[in-house]
Amino acid sequence: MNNTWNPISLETITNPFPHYQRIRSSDPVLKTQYGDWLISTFRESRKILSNHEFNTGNRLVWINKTVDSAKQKGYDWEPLSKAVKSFLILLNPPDHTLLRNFLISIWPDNNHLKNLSNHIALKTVSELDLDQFNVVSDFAQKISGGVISQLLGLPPKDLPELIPEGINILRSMDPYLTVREIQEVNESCSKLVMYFNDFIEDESTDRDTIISKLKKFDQDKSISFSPTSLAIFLFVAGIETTATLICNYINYWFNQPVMQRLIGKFSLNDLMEEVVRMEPSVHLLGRYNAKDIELMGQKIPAGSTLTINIGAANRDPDYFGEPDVFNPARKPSGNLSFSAGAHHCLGNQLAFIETESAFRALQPLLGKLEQKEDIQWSNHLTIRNMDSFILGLK
Amino acid sequence: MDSEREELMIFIKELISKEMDVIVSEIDENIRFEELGMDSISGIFILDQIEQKYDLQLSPALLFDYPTIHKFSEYLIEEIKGNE
Repeated sequence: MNNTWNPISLETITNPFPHYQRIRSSDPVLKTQYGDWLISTFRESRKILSNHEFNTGNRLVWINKTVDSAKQKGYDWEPLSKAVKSFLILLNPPDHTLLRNFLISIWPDNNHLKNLSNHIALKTVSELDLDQFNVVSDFAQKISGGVISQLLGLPPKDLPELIPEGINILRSMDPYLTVREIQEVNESCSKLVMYFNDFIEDESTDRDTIISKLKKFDQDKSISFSPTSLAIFLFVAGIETTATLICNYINYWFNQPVMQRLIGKFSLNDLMEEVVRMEPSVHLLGRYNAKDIELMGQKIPAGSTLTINIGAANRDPDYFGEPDVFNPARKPSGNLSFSAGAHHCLGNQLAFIETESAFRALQPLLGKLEQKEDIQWSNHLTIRNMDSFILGLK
Repeated sequence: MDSEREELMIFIKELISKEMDVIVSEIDENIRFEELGMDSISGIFILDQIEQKYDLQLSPALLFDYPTIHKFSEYLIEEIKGNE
């Protein structure tokens, strides 16, 4: 059986878990043909993500080097650099710590988030064409996009144009992009950099919105960062990962027979934890090691790129008993879907709040709906998301 | 080896020659791309030229899956024939 790491194959795109399992069984710490070290076990993944001696930022280095090379060939990919330069997931301490602590200090409380999510979810359901709709673009992205844009202070009328550009920007985190794909990402970056530059310039510093407070922080600042890039990061990260969770939750309602029986027997939180364990939005995370290390007998020299496979780690049978079984009662619970350590996802609670609002808003209609066609998974690597998931009235 | 494959290998060597500033005759088709000095950045621009000439969509991951000119051209010929 072929145990070569093959992230771009059709098999891996449609259902990656058997491939993950083969790799994890034979080579849990694998030096891939691409030069990186693929980590597929739970304990080693958690160790790396939780340890400050493993840094992030390789992707930013690659992007900046590629933008420089492209310039010599006549391509202007500066917008790409500008868009991602202050992405929180690409920063290390002390800048990361300062920005993260600032965001924590201004983050709205859960009651506010629940009220906002409920309102937007109900409005989104009321606008659905129930004969046929795409859970991805007509439901999930509208809810997550609506919530994050309200929190940022963006006008709702701008969303239909902003959301697809934002989702495209996330592709910048994928490895193995072609020149054409980078061009497309760069065009989206160009549009959003311009939009957020103008928006931040016109924004006041006394509104109760994240961007208003970000602008004030920038004016008072003691560190150098790009408010435009950080705003873009919050926007794009706030949409797609949560939209993916919402889609996965609804998918499990329809396609995991046990799930419908368990609603009412388990809290929505427990059910969401188990869905997100089995179907993390983010499958691959990158780190590099500052010192020589040894993992499961493999000697890894300093400066190596480590690719943490969250999708594989969350189904590690050495940590989760019967990992392919949907079991919200499982102990230990806990998964790496929102990462761990200093980069643990700030939006973890917001993602669950939005997913709960989305499900509760749609729940009265679920019995009348059926899935109309097979789910189409995107070929993105870092975030495993759907292109289409079509529901409609029976 | 058929002429179509030979022509393809010469084309790839010319691209590498231009990108890496090496002489075509010194490029060994059985040496790994990384040993020729290529990396993930130079690779995408070389790949782009191949995509445009043969109207293909090629993931940069393929340069690692088929890591020599010999192996890569073998893969490409099948893709080109499939495209015709």
